[in-house]
Amino acid sequence: MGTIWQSLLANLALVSIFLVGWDIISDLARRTSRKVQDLLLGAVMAGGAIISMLLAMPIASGFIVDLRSAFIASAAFFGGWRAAAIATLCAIAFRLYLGGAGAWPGVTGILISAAVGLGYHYAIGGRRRKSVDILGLGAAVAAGSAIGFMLFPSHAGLEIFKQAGLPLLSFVFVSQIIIGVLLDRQWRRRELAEANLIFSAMVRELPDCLNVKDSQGRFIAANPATARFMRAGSVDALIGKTDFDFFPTDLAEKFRQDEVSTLERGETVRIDQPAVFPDERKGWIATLKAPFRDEAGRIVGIITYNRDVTEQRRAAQLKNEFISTVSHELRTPLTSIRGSLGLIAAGVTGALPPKAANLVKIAHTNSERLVHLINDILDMEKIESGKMVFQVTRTALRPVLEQAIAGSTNYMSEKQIRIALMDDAPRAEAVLDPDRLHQVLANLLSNAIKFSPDGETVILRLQRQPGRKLRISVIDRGSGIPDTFQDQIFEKFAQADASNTRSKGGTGLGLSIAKTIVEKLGGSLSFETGEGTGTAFHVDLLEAERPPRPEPAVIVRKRDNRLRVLICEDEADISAVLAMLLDAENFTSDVAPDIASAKTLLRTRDYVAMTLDIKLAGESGIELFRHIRASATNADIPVIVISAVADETRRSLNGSAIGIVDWLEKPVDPDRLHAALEKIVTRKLDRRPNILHVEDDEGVLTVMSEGLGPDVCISSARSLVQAQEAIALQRFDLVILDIGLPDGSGLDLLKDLPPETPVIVFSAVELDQNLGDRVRAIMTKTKTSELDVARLVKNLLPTFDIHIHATTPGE
Amino acid sequence: MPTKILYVDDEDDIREIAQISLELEPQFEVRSSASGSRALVDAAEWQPDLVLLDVMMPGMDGPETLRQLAASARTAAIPVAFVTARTQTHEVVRYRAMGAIGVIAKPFDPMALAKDVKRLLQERGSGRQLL
Repeated sequence: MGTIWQSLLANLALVSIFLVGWDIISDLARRTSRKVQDLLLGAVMAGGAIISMLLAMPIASGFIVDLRSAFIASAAFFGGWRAAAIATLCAIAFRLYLGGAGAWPGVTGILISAAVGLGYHYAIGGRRRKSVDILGLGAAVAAGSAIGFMLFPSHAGLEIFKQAGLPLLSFVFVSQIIIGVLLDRQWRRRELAEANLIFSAMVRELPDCLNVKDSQGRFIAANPATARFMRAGSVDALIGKTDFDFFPTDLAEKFRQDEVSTLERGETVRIDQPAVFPDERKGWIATLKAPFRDEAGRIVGIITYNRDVTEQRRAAQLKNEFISTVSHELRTPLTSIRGSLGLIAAGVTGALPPKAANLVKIAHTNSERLVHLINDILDMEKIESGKMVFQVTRTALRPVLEQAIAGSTNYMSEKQIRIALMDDAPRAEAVLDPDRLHQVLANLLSNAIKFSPDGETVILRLQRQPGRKLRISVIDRGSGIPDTFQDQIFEKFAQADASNTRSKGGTGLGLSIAKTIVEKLGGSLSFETGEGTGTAFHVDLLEAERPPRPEPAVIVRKRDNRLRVLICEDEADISAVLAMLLDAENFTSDVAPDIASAKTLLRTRDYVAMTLDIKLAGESGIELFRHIRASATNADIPVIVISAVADETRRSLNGSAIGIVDWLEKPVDPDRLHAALEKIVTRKLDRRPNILHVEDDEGVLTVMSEGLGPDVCISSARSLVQAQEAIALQRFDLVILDIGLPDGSGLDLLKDLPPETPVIVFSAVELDQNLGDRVRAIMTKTKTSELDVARLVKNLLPTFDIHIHATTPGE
Repeated sequence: MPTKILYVDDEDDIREIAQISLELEPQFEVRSSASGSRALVDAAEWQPDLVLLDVMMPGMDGPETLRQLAASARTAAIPVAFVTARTQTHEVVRYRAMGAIGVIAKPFDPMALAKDVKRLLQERGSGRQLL
């Protein structure tokens, strides 16, 4: 028994000797093809198998045990079918030559080993070998050897297995592992060397400078291009030196500064800088400096990459000059064409016959289009070359919006389109370039006008959004953007319908420019659209931090609780002045430039008052006045009439002038406006008491409204959110409050209400807690009816500072 | 008293159109010069309230004309604005650095030119910075 172990140990020593031999041979043969290397591996492993058989000790007549199977399987596993064939054939031939009763089982064992090795070889295929593969191979080859024993004549086989089974299987396993691990490592070393060869070739042949420095600025590695650029003679002459050894001190100092900042920030830095090349040519290089990290991720140096960009810069400069020249050359004749046509079309030269007038109009419109196109192309070029200059400053948005509307009048007149301004973010400010925002809004407005049906109103709305965001929306009632076009709307020269280019006169660049500008301003441009219902474009911007500003002492109200006034005025200058005066009085304002948009706004939003220009763009403000008084909402809105001819109009409105607070003449006197607003706010004006009923049950709302009768003005809110919106927009003399609302408890509303507003709780919930003085009564739905509540409200009303006047609409 | 405006451009067509456009404002009295050197003489003689200068002109170009206007005692006080097709940002910045009170882009809107010029003069009067 002992001798078998010894014999196998000797075999194992043989394995080691052959592996070292193979290492040397494969190194010598590293330049040969893969095929030759496989054949060599087969031959070496065949030699190992033969000598293993020679050294083995016969355990019975004609039977030998040895480690040949490990050699054969390794040849197949690492060398594929070629190596397997050589090793197998040589081993079989030698085993047959040795002869004896074990010859045929031995041959079978050899074939099994070869099959196991090849099986593993192809199973792994192209992927990387893992330790578990080698372990598995060891176990499989050992198992294959055991099968060899079973092929012996039965009594002899069992006897031999008893003697040699355990030592053989364990030695085959161990030697297979050893061969596997060593060959695998050798393989990896070779791959690494090849990869290195590829990388160093890449770096060596790169015409751009590439080098690595340590944190002190000393070269650790560099390519020949770096050495040439530094005039260092060779790469070896660079290693260990710094920029100070090659450049004047001030220049080296500047380079060092760039490196230090890269090291400190740990980010890649890109610098364009002038350079003098080895051939004394002056030019530009683009430099990339990236931190160089060790395996632990610590920054231990800098990787620098320099590229000669002289040509690109020269090309960019040429392009710039070319565009400048072309635009000038195009614009000069266009100045004459547009000028002549503009003057003729405007009738400066006298009236034209209708046919001629139409043709001149066509020519004029198209010359305008050409002007826009050239401007857009130049803008696009500026943006793409990064030359668009942004003069960013803290900007109040309302004036920018007003100017954008004023600037759009050219487009509007022809189609009878008006722009209404809804300002839901009073005093909003953002840090941006006002001229660029103006450009974006002008573009969006001109689009909205183009795609609106004649006579429609376009809405420009400013809102606050969660997260200190501001949203400027341009909303039209056009045909909407077709589904298929929505994802390319911001692309250059995109037009939903090619025929639109002609009928709508766009350049196809506007939205693309607008989006880029908004993004450069740190915002985003998006849209919502419904086919047939219109489109809203949203410019989202970050609101500037509001500096603490003392609120006016006269009216103490939360900013978001500001009362809203509708300015009904067609002259942009005047509406801007009114808005400014109202803002100073702490009112929010919307602007309606005509009767149609005023009606729309009055229908959809609550206003505490409105200013009305009696001579509204040729329309009669008086007509609007009568319309308001007869309408369902805002019928009792106090009106401040503003007119150039206030006294004259006053007479014509005599008799129906209910709710007219004051008559102001243009130019508006700020003191009189203040007084008029004061009157409205302090509720000296006769009006019906204003009651908010917060209730989600439609039936209760109806019965309560019946019960309260026509002497009060009831607003209803069906959810907590609606109620909060209502009290933010309007003041109420009384609130009837349900507790169980779909989106929360009505009690949450109490903290949002102005402290002086009385509340009656009318709810199914039984409450016995003290809700404070302002809650005048708590009534439970099953115990008291709506009519009881209504009676209580009527009883309470005289205690409020309200005079119920007798005039209701129609009287 | 009318506001006197001298329009300088080498293109006959544009001079004519600009003259008609500017005269839409009844307050303006408009004359034009066909070259920079001509403009120096006309400005010194006529003493306009504003000189509108084309930039690209053969011979003496706009900027050179502006320099010479500013250098001469008789014309140094006359404000000058450019009317030009070259309105890239760096170009506009350069014009302003030369001392131009404003820049009007070509092609101008003939119906708005007079208004734009009026605004230029008003803003200058109110001391507001342009552009």
